[in-house]
Amino acid sequence: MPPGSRLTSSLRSAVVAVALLCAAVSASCGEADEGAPGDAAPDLRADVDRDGRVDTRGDSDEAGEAEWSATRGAVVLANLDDDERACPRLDAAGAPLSDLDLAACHDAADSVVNGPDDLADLTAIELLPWPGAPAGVELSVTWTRADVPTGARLFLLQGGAWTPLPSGALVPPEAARSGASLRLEATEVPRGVSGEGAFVDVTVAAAAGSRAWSDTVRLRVAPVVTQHDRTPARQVLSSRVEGLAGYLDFHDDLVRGVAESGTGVEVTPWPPPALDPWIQDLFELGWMTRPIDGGTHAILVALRSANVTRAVLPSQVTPESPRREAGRMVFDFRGPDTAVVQVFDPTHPVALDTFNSTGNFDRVPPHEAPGGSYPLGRAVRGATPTAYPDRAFTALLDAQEEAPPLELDTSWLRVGHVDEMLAFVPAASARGWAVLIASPRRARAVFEELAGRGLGETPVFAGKLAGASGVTPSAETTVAAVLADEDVMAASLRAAIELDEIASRLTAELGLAPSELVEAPVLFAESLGRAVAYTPSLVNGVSLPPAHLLVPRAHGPRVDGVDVLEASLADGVAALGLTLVPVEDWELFHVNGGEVHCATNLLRGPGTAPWWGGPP
Amino acid sequence: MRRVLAQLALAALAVALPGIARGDAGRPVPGAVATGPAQARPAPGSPLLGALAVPPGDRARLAAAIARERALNPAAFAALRALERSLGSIPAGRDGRLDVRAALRPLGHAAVLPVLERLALAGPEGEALDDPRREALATALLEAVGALRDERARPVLAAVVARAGGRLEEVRAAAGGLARLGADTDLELVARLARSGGARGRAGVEALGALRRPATIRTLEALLAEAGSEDDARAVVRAAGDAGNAWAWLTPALAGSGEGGRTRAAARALVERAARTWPGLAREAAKSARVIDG
Repeated sequence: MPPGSRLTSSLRSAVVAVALLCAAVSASCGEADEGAPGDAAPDLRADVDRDGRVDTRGDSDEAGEAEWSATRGAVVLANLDDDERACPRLDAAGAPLSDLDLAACHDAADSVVNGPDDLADLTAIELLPWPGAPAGVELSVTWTRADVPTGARLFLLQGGAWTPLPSGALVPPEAARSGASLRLEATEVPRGVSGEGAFVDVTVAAAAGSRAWSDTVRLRVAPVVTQHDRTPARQVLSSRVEGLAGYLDFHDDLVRGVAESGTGVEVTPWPPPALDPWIQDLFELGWMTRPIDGGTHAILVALRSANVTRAVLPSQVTPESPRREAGRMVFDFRGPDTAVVQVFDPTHPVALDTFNSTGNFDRVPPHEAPGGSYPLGRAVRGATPTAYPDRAFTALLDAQEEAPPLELDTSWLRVGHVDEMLAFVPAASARGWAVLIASPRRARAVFEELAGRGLGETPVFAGKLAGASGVTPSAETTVAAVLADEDVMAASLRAAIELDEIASRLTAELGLAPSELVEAPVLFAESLGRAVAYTPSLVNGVSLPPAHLLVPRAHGPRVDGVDVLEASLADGVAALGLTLVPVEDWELFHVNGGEVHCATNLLRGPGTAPWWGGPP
Repeated sequence: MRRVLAQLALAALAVALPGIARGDAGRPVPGAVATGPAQARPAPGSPLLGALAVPPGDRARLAAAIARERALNPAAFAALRALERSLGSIPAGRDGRLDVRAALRPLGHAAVLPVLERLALAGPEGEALDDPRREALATALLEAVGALRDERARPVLAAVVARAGGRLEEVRAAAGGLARLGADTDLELVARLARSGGARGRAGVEALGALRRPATIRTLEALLAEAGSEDDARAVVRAAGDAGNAWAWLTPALAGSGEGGRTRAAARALVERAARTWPGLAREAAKSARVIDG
């Protein structure tokens, strides 16, 4: 029998109404104000001081419990992991589940506490004993959440078992005097407005005769804080596409480069469907955290990209079409303390689908800027009014943020992703990071300098094939031929003008000094009116803090055995304390419009600075 | 104890990953290729662009040239066939589109006749490509042959630009190729496309940016005067910037023409005028001005 079912619905409604009224005017509704906690009124307690414990004996969790600030306020997690690995990939007949069915399965999808690991994901709320409770008093517990009205669930410990307690339900009469243990889970990540946060207000209300009492605690739903490149890496996922030309070179270089970094990070080759190796574009990783005794409890979240299927022509995609197939692999990650969030707008224009790839999403590391303070960093993405990612997905991201994202114009790029043109890299500087930006001007200057020294016939792309198939001819050309290529030069200048604007914008928005914007030499070609990297895009790499940067091998002109494009960048990042490590990706990725970053995805963090503020 | 949960999450990931290799990772999503209207697949042996109205005389000359070339240089034809056969094992580009343009580029002029044959005259026997690969290959071949600036491609490029309908990307690629050939007749054809309105028309306008001659700027001036919307005018401003692109004019082929100063000055005057006429285009005009100035 559900709690509260012994009372009539009208009485239950009356108690709830009193509770809500009291929540609004709590000072006049009998808040405990004297004696031991809970003596004079019902008293809810949560971990308001964020020490990981609920103080049921003293008052350390009492002050400001109905509000939330950077220094005080309890936290609840969206319980979207799968602690018992109970979520299937296949239906009963052995057929793959639909995208929607896959995403619908998680620990908060049912009203059961699925074992001790699941319980650990819930936030404790204690109803203190109320020895002075009047005879016949009725207690109800109500919760509200503005951004997602159905986005929480409360459990009550009864007879040694956790049973769901619907909002507004009455708690058993004995709980008034003896107290009760409650647990709260959020069933959705924040979905509201950027900067406003998402809160669950839990109120206990009591009524006896003409007297009424209430007490409210406010909990904030932990946002998903996506990673930034200053955070040490823990795992490098890389595309495992063994059957494709160039794979072994890529893999070996990547493993060697990671080992060279001395970070001890593990490289995990990850096999997406072979014809869609762009792991970076399939998901963005972030963390939800809350304080616990002695540390933090973290749930890793994979935000699946909002891409549509690539199995059909764009003109054939319908709202019912499945999402990008390779992205389904995120559901294999799901498990204990690892969750998946999938949000998309089925009406998003298919022609804009490339902007949905998560390689088009990045994060500026924490910083102070002319426009404000960004202790958790700031989201950045490629978007303009006419070339933008899925709005449902970006609304989801924005709901996690304290500040609006930095939106940059990537519409001039054929692929349209921010990682084609810039990267935020760690730096041994006061700021702790810097920006790498693709620079056709730098590349052209390098080529012109060689030509001026009479080295115009120096090979470029020496020994490389022009395509991925293994049947394509050599890509080799010369410095002079590149400088004489009208199309490459025209596209490169057009790209340079776009990048000049981006650089100015970054400098102004982020408050960068000139030394914090490092030019990576890259030439561009034109395809269907958009730019695509002609020389490997040296910004499209992987940073391994504190001191290593893995970038695609440039295959630029070599002078005295040194690749002058790589050397140009190495000089630029040396001032940041970074060592450059080239990784071969030409046949495998470069000729298909991507590079090292596109074919990897890093697990970092969760980092040491708590999102809720206060000291690390 | 809970501090170790982050590590547990990592462990979850690590445990999951081997399962990916064993599991159903590569299984197709049901319905993934079943949505949308069924399309008739071209028969084996048919050209990528289907029936294309290449004038009979041009078609005959092209066929004869192809026959001669096949006898002299069969390797180029074999290379294209091999590339086409390999399409099933090439990853899609990062934007989801197949891109073989880079693979064809170094074949140089040896690729022109095999590519023109494949586009307009005939294809290999055997299983036909599926629609995405056929369309991607057609676009890529049009781009590749256009980038070569080879006059033998003119009849095919002109036919694609002149025909009603056709995929926008094919029209855009063909118009860009025709513009690169740069003759008066090419300018006339691309300008006609530019006046056709809508997305096709704007593709034509933008293609004019690759035809770097003073006459192009005069055409763009007329198109600016005729522009019925800010989007139309924006395409003109962008094309003017491209036509006056400073780095392009530094390349030997253009620098030797002696037309750079005149073309770029006219282009700059045009974008300044456009910015005055269409205040909403100030940013695009400033950008084009910087492209012209270098």
